[in-house]
Amino acid sequence: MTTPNPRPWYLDWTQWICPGPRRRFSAQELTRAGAQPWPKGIDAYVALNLLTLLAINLKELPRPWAPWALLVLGGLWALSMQAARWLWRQPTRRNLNLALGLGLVLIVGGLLGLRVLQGPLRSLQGAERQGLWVLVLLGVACGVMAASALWFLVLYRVQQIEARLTELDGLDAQLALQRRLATAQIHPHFVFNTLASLTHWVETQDPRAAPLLRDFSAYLRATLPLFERDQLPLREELELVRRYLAIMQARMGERLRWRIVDDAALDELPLPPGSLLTLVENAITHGIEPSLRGGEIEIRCARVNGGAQLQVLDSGQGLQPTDAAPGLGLANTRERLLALHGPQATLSLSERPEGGCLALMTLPSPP
Amino acid sequence: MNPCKVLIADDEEAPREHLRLLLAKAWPEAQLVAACANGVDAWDEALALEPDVCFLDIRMPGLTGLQVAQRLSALQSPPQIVFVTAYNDHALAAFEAGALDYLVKPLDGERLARTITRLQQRRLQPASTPASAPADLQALLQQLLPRRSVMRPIQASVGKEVRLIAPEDVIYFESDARYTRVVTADSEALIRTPLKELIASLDPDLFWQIHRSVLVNSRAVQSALRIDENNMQLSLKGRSEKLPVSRQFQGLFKGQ
Repeated sequence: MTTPNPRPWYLDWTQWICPGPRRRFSAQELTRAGAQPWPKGIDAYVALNLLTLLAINLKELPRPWAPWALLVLGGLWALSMQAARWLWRQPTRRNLNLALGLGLVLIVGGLLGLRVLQGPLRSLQGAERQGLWVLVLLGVACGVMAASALWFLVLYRVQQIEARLTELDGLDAQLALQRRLATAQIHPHFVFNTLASLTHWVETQDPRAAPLLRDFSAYLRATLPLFERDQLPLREELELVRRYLAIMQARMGERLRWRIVDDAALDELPLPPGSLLTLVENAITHGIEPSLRGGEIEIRCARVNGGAQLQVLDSGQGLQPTDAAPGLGLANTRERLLALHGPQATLSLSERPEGGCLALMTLPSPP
Repeated sequence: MNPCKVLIADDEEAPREHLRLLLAKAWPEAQLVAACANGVDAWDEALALEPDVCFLDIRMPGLTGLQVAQRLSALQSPPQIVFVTAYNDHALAAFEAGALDYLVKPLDGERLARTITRLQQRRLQPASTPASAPADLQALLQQLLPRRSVMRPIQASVGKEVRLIAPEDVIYFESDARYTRVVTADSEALIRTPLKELIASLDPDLFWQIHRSVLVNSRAVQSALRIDENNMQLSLKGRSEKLPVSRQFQGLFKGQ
């Protein structure tokens, strides 16, 4: 979230009237950042400062004032520590100014109180009178110190929360990317099932082993570095799809029939790597594999109005309400398509009236 | 003891053949009674042949291996089940926890041999101790299986007309040679989809299989009558015909 006010702080008149952080956190943001524990160091630091202050000033004070000094200092100390803890939990400008206002009221109130007492105090002489002034100055100095300390505390705390939120955002983005890549990566199910067929054919010296091994190696070689590239020409993507279908053909036998209708003019059309492959994988795993009689897959690449239309048609069991996975894969592909070709690129999945599904990718004409 | 009857099911040919070869080598006394290419065949053959051990691939068309196992475990004398899978389906951890047998593809001869030893030991145990605690297996599978989706209407051609029948209106389905009879309160239709394939799309809690060739709507059942040791008959609400319950399914009607 950015502040709506871009002016530097010294031109922002509100900062002169009620200073403090501009950034306000919502309750959700505060919960998300988590409650960082109150730094114990602050307690020790403040206590040390107060002791030093006392040690210096105590001998300036005449004896009768010493208890008063201790009382004032102790009260200020307890109050400002309470305020500090409160601001640590809710570091807003409003709260800071409430705390500062309260402090000001206390100091002004204290001075006014002395003025009321002026009559009896007038009789004080010499050293005693001077001691009173020391006491007043000591109170004011502590108040100002407490105020600036609170101000810094709030600024520090706001920055800490902001940094934590930024860090969490970064982590989230990284996780989302990893998840996206993981869904697009080679499916282990595919790998081990292919290896299962290979194992059998190698052990029985079946002639189907060699071509399957060749296709599988080519497929792996092409897919493993796939997601390091930003784009892939349609020609290479189709090669990948061919390898994939050849592997599935070897495994599924008659249950799978497939063909690719190619257009050489579209060979160099850039695609998000693996996008067409994802659609074909979906057609196999959600359409053909679950269908008792198997089915057909056809991939059609055609030029339309200077742009291109890529279709993946299958005659499988159609969309199933329980299939959550194709929706997810589809959303990822759509996102990557958008990044590469802009908002004119579309991707849709629909049921065909004759049964099965149609995945349709429409790409705009190149600029 | 009779030779152990084994059924295997995998939708892909090579892994299926691989298992068949490995079994022949590692367990020559066993008798392979069926090698099925999908879940509905596996279930149907299991009813017909009553195997002692079933090796079920998890991902199969029609019924998945888990669905077949769920049905098998509800039978009067359920077979022992070994799941076969290519990769860590979320089920594997559950199998591990439930001490169920499973194999991963590509199959490994040694691992298979260990599984066979375990299957043989269980077969030697007296019949009174349940082989793999079927009740636990059922609870486990219940957890693993997704909730069923909405049943689609059944499309039956009657002359030139295509009639849509809501599954919940059907009283019972019966296999009839090459057709399936669909009986509702006020009509009857024949459809070409074999009963064993129809099973896969129907809610097993609503439609109970009571015979290899009969599926009855549990809400239409009036009572079950035991004729003798092996025979049981169902009466239906508002209908005169009686439906036979085969021995394997008699456990459905226990009474309380």
